[in-house]
Amino acid sequence: MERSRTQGESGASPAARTAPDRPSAPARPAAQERPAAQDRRIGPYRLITRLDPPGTAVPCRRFVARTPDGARTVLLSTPLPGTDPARFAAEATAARHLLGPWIAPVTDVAEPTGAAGVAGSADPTGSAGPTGPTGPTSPTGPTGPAWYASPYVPALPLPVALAVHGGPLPEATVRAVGAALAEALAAAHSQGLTHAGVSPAAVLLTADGPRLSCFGAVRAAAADGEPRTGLPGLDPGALAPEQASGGRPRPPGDVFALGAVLAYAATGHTVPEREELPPALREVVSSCLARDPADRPTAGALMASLAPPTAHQTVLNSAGTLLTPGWLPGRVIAALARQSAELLAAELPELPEQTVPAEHATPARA
Amino acid sequence: MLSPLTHDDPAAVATYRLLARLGSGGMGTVYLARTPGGRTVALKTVHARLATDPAFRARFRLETDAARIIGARHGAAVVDADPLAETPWLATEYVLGPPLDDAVALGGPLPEPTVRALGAALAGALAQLHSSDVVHRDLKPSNVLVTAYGPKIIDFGIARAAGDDHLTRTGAAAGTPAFMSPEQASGQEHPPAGDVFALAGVLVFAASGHGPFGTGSPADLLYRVRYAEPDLTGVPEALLPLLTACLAKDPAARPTTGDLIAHLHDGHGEFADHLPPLLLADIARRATDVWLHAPHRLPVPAGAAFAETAPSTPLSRRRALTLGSGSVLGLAGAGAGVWAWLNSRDTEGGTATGGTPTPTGPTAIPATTAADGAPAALWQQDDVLDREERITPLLAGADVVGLAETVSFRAVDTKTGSELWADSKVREPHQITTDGTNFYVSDGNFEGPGALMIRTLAARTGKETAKTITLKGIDGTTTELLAAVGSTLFTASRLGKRESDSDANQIGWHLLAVNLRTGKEAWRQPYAWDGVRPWLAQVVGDQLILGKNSGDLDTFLVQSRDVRTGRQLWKRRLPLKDSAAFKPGHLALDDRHIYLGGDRLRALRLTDGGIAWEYGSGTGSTNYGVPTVSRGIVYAQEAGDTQGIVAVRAPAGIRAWRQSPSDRPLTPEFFTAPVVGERYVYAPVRGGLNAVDPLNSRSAWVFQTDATRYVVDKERTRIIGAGESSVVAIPYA
Repeated sequence: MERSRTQGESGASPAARTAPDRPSAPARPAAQERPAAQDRRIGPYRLITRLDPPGTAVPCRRFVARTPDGARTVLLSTPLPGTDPARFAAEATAARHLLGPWIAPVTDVAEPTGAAGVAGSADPTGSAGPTGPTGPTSPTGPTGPAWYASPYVPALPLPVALAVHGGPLPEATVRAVGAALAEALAAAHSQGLTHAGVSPAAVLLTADGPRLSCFGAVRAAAADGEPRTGLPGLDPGALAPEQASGGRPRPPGDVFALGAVLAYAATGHTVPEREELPPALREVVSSCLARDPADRPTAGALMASLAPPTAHQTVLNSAGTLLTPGWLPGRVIAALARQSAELLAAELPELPEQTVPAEHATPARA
Repeated sequence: MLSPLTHDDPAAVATYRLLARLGSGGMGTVYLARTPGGRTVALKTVHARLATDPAFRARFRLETDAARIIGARHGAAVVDADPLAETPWLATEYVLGPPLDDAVALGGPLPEPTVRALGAALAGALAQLHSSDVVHRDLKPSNVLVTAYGPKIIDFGIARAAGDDHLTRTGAAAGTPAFMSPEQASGQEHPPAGDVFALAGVLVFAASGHGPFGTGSPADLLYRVRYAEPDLTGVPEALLPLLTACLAKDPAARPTTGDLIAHLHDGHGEFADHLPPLLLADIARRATDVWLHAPHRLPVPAGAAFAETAPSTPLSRRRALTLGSGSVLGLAGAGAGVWAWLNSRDTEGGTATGGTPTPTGPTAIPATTAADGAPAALWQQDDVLDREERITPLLAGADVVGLAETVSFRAVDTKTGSELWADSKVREPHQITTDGTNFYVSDGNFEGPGALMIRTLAARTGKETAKTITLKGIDGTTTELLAAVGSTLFTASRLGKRESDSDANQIGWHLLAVNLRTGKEAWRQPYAWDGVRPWLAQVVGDQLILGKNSGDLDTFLVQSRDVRTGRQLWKRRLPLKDSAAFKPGHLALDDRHIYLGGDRLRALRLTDGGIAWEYGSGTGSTNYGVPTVSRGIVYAQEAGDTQGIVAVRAPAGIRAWRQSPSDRPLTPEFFTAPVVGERYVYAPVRGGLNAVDPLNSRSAWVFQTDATRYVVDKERTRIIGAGESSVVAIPYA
């Protein structure tokens, strides 16, 4: 219990955690050169790097992190400062039920903290962290942060993909991304779920298709009924008018946001002039961005218009027919390969407390 | 690609936890491995036996130093190495990109812009090496890994297995001399200009799919490298002058690496901009798959108990066998980041004499048949034009038997004998095989670039149930389908396109494994064509057992390959000189042995191909036909001092019973395996099928038919026989 509480603290306030660690450093010369940031932990994971470049507008903080034994690498999401961690955690728990090839699978969620007190969102299996020297975050720890994790695969946030490509993405890429995400939304909507977090930064591009992340960012930003304009983590261009004014997120809002994502992918911004859009996409993207939710297509209809049915498609995966070699531009693939290579080469710095947990506990108590 | 660890792989080497196998060869094994801090590397280990040789250790250290000199930009970054460890190892970056030969196999020859970008980058890498007074000496497509940021050169021609010294002396330092310089081929020093010559060869290969001096035996290649003009067919015209100059026999006449960089590429764009989509997709897949790999370990293979009793050696039994048989397998298809330890060297024997065997009957006993007591046929079809080549008919589905005939392939209902469907695209029996559920049919391009097309046909309807698989760069018209097991199809295929020249049709033969689910090639391994087909193939456990007559019919070749990699585990030649040509139509095996006829009845161990037992006198007058094994007993027809069925206990080779010598005289069909029933053992004889009753060791009846091969249906109610002009169903009892 002692140990897990200690780690809960270190995860909650990394800066504070590293501070008491420093005085002990002279006794261990290796630790002297270690930047403080490398000791950061969230839940049972040690952080390796941020996924998003500094200074970019993101719906949630995303890191690549690793279990202390080095065995598992994950994509770890945490709430932005200024958002409600309890609502974030509740969304993460709900996102565990979202499945499908184009959804980043949530496999590991921090238990909501007692202080936040979100009733009804506790998932009895949610704290099943990986085994390792640290063990799972204490489910009752008063200061445990909210987080959830997906298995890591090389992934670029859509804005990063545009940056490495050097501008808007080719129409074939936009179409493939759009069809896959429309398919993902259609599946969620048919389950009665609304994503409520679709935005350019929430879309990750991987080698075999896009992945939707940051589930529920709109609901996490502010409760229904409160205006959401200008809140942290919300991309104003991807926020449907009815949601901006505080309306409860519903499927047409997801379709609006997806339209904004496609507009962004094809032009570089979420609110383009109609003429900027490639002619073949103008109609479909504009229809998604209709102010009146009733005028927008359903996700299913959107998928059909982006990926017209073919003879060989299967019921399970129709958007996949567009993900043939060449769907991603070369420089985006190169960036994915570089990210993969860098993370393959990344090594967790050796920590004294990693190998000898008891020694760590002693100075912490002192 | 990533293969599971085998049961005898260690859990860790130094502080590296092993995750997967990337490949293995005569010198050692390359693993995907991870440090305690989670860094993932390619870990190259050396066989303990080689490690005991001080000279080899010294060369391994030189190799490691060379890898450090080339650095992370042009080579695989060296993470750490210990050439002095008991098992010397070298940890490098796991490179995310295919070897160039795989890249060309995947998508065909590369477009000119790719070749130019690749050439300029490789020339830059060589320039850097040469400025450090290092010469690569072994530049070839499999040593060039194509990443999204440029090629990486691996595997310097320094560390070689001890047994390769003689090759070095004759100039064939790296197995295949296809990319060697003329000076190297004549045994002289390989100067930096030699690397330029090799680089041009690599670029010719990238642009055209073939090396400038073709393929063939090392001796032929050495000669052509030294004296023949390079073959630049298929190379874009704009590249011809430069590549021709690089391939000059006189080292002094070749351009420098600086000339190459200047002439090949103006440096515009990023390297990835010049890569074709298929290659980019392969790089992306490799970058992703390494994260999805779940480490696991294969169980101890069946029969491994034999390994425990093997002579003590620091190597595992399997590795010892690999070395012992002289097998030096390359890593074709083994994937990114793999160090091509040694070249593929074909270990197939046999001379290419070709020709058709003419088996002679061992006896002259007149055929007499008796229909007394024989049951009536359940059904019979008499309008058959049978090829008699594939000796066992193909059973698929619950009730379908397939017959490859002269003009078509026919699927027949085993219950009624009625034709379910026919496919006229199957012209040769070797074009079709089955996994018991579907039929798989191969076809290819008769003109234009080579392509192997594989169709999946539903057993009962003949309808295509999956997308046609197309593999480029393989001659599908001569491909032989060997076996389909699980989701893997094994073939014997020629690389390249269909050739009208019969000499050309003899080179480039490979065993291939195709993943039927993904439509991708899983591995390929070369073998030398010796003019004789077919390969008989069967999968047992994790072994693919192959058998075939040698080209001169003097021996029967048996070999075992790892189903996951195609790596040869062992091979064996059995002499047939003293026996009438033993030409089986199937392999008889159980979980311990392979059983073969000939001058004796023999059992080979699956574990190492060694002879477990031999049965019979071994005299020239005695012959054993194609055996079959069932419930621990091996049955074969015997001709010598006695004639008829002999039943031998499978574990030890001790006779259980034999057909009574006084039984009615019948001429055995040696090339057809007996059928084991509940009540009778059915021995194929000339003009019919002889039902022998094991209780009294005598023939009960003979069913008259021209069938020459038999199969029992899945419900075990009938024996289907097929012959020159008829197909018949006989009750199974």
